[in-house]
Amino acid sequence: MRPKGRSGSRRAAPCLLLALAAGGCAGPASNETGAPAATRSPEAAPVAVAVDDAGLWAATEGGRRQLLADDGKYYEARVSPDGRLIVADIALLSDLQVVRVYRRSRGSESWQPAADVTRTAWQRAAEAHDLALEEVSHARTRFVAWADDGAALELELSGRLPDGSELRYSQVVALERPVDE
Amino acid sequence: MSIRFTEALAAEYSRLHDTCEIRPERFAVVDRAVSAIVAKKSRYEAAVSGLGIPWYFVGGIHNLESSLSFERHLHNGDPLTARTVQVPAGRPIAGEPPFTWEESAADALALDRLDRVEEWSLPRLLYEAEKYNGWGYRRFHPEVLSPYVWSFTKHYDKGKYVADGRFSHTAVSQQCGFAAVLRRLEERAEIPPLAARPPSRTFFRFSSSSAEKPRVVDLQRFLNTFDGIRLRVDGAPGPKTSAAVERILGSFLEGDPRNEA
Repeated sequence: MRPKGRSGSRRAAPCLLLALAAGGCAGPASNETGAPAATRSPEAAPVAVAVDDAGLWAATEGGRRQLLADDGKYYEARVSPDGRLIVADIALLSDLQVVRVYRRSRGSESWQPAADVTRTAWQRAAEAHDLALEEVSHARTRFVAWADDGAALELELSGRLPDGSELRYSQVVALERPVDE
Repeated sequence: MSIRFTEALAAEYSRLHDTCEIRPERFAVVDRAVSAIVAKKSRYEAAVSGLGIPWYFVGGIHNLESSLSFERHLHNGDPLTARTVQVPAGRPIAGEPPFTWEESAADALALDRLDRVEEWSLPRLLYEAEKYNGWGYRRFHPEVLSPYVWSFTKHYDKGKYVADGRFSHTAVSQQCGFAAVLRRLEERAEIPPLAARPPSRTFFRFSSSSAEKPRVVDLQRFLNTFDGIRLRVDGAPGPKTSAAVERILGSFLEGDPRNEA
């Protein structure tokens, strides 16, 4: 399944504006993996995600910028169809990739970390496969698609186990609705 | 956010390398990895052809990223049958899959700007290895030396990031760190001994300042152990001390005009 939404990713360093406005704005998305499918959300101002040497940014109308993450080596970010979520694949290390979700509440232009979907997903995987997270190397969590009209994410988990075998595990992780909804 | 390669950082890497020992209980694993890397030297040389990157740098990284599999992208271990889907996604941009390992590796190395490194000194090798993995340990857990570099050496005991992105103080890396590979390559003479640091050119200068007196005293005592050398142990590196150094080491102290004669 191809992901909905629009995405931006990061080369190692150069300053690039990679993706795009949501909230119904037209305009090209610069991306390598996603197919655009934004829906109009009257409450949400258009937003773009960008990556430069400092990290992953969100930029909204009027020139407001907010640094979302600066601890990654590479980033791949997408704006949700309603423009109120940003989901980012972040390579914290060359052998460790996580997914982070950022949300802005109604009437606000400030982005806040939302549910820790990576932790939730790996805890489930650990239970399902009876493994300890410390045993998994090269653990990578990747956004696959929006699900349940943006109320959930489909994620893919992969990693290597001590016996040399590969772990691959897909699951849908629901996002908690903020109190203002 | 990157960390710059400074003189202080270079000195730190050199000091760590000087005191680096492979853990005895890991020695066999390290030695096997080094044998496997050396066996594929020609492939690593092909991947770095024209890039100026040492083949053994790529070998050490390849071991960490892909367990020496030539069927996976060096970027992130994705299969070579398609472009990468994990971040960095969509690599290599040029060409069409399936990619050869050499094509992909060259792209991964250029993406990290490793082809722009001008001098591959020992500290630079270690710096670039840590940078290739990322600065998470150095930035957020400096109490633990990066296992990507130091695992399986006595410089690393425990502490690592685990699958959910959190840091565990008790988790232990099960991978052979880059420095362990480098060290064993040197020990086996598969590569020339790497200079841990540039020769200290100012350590014992001719007519040094009094600040260096204690070291010069040690030097004079050392020189006095050779037959025919009788120096006054005064901490002053003058002509007689310099002449004694020349007799033993073949050149006068730096700054001695007799070196120019």
